[in-house]
Amino acid sequence: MVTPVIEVRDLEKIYPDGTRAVRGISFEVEEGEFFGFLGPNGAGKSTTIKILITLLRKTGGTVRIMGLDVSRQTDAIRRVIGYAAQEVGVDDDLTARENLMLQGELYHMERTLLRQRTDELLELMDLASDADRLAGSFSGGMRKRLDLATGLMHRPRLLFLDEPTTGLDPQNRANLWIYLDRLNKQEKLTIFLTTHYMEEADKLCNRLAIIDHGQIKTLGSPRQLKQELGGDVIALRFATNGQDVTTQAQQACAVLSGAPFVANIDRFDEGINVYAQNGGSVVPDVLRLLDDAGVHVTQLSLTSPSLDDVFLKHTGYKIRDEELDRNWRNQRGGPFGRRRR
Amino acid sequence: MRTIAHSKPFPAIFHGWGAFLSETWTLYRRALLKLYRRPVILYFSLVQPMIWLLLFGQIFNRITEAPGFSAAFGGQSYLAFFAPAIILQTILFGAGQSGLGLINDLDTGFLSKLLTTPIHRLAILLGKVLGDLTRMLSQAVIILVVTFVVGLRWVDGSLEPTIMYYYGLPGLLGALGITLLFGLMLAALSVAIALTTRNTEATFLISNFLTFPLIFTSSALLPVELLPDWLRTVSTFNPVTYAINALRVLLYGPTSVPAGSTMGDTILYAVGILLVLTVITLTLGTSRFRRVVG
Repeated sequence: MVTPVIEVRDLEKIYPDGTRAVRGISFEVEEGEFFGFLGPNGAGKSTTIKILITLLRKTGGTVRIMGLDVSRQTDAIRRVIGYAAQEVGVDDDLTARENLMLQGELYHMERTLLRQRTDELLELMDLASDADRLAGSFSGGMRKRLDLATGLMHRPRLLFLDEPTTGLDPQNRANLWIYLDRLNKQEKLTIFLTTHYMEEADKLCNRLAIIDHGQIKTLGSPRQLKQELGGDVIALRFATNGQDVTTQAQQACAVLSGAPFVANIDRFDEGINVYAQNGGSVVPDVLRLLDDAGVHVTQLSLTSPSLDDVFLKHTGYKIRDEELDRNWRNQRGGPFGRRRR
Repeated sequence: MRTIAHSKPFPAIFHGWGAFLSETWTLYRRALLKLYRRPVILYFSLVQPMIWLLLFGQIFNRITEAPGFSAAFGGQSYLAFFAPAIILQTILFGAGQSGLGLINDLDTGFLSKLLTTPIHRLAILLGKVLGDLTRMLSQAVIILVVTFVVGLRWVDGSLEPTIMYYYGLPGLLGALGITLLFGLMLAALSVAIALTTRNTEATFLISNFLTFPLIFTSSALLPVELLPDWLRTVSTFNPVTYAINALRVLLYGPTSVPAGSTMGDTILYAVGILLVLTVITLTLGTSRFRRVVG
């Protein structure tokens, strides 16, 4: 039996102000996995990752990192993990090389190894030609890559990434994915990632957990989670005149749940999602059934199942990227804002 | 591309105290490097004190002829008299920087990153404070040099210093020692304030807000004997008075001993008061720091 790289049992975190940020979650991450923690802001992602990287004490449950107890063997854990967050932890007044050397020195690496490793990582992250420029003059994407590299200096077995691409523009985000994928596949580095970007989780993770209100709602590979929906997604929206929408949605559910081709139905505030195999061929039947029942469909879309749909199913809502970025900015607080750690 | 797959983390070459010292040294070097890359921090906080030094040194030079002044501060120019006050004013003014640096590390995520490494938590604080003390020391030395140079006069075709350091190098070193103690007290205070408010503006305001009242209610501008009665009373509660008096004694010798005191007492009081205050602010600062790094 191989010890899992991360082993979490009934993890609980209650903040001094009474907020129950994490309510009894359990999961395991195996060596070499790219594991994702997907959830909206305030779902408990950051709290969980901070406990795993020994920056925050848990209230209950057990957490083992490479078999080490997170409450008692903190130093041993810190030696084997690497970390990069949404805030870029590089010093702008130092060059890329100096940032890396500094990090390595803090792990008491031997001088020759330190130089070798620095060059190796500069190469790996395509920063070699900018090695002696100040990090402050770097673009957002380069700073991010440098930050990632500093987290890898001591050759960790396990890398924690806390919303690594939040605040990056789409192009830089996609670019960083290439590096993350490379680290996981070529370097066989186990990666634990939190994100609220569906696309990111879908692209990178072998396995992911959807977390909301401090609980794991579902866990599996992106493919598996999408399959569980039961087929293609037919999203239906109804005429928006007052409470009529709710009545119509109810009516639609009643009518369609009897249909043999419907695998599953989810109802949300804005409408319903119908899941069916071979969605294209059943759309006429769906419309006919609804029309017969006198339900007015104003909008219909047919898509193959995406993580967005999985997320919607398990958390009951959908978040758009712009909204996420706005939340992220608010979270950082204004000039007089006190930041919660 | 070389593969580093499944390799173990690098072995550490330092353990225990060696590790702590090495971590402190690494972070101290970082602080120096930052200072070197942004020398503006060093010079900016020197601009205002320099203007004061040069202007006040001229404006108030005739004060030395006022009755009572030479009894309280024997012989030397107002420039010499004022220089120690300017050193401490610079330290006061620049002390906010210590806290600001920490807030910056907190906001950028640099601190979080440090905390996920297995380094000793206090090495972070120590490395930072040592860096700040180095900055303060260089500022004090710059002011001493400038004062000395400004004090030079042409006498019979050659440059003669008007400022005499009574105890020479040992006196200068002693004065720098007191300056550093004073700086340590303020750096720790600034760290405590910064970590309590977690706010750049607030931290900056406090150091600005403290500087002038503390300078004006001390023996910075005039010997306490020449201050109005109420101000003289206030000045006896102001640690800056004791620090400035000790600096003057160490730099200019027995003639600058305040009335009713002795050489030894002046230095002893300063060191005693500063030590007690430093212990207090250090305790505050480290406990705040421990809470933040949790």
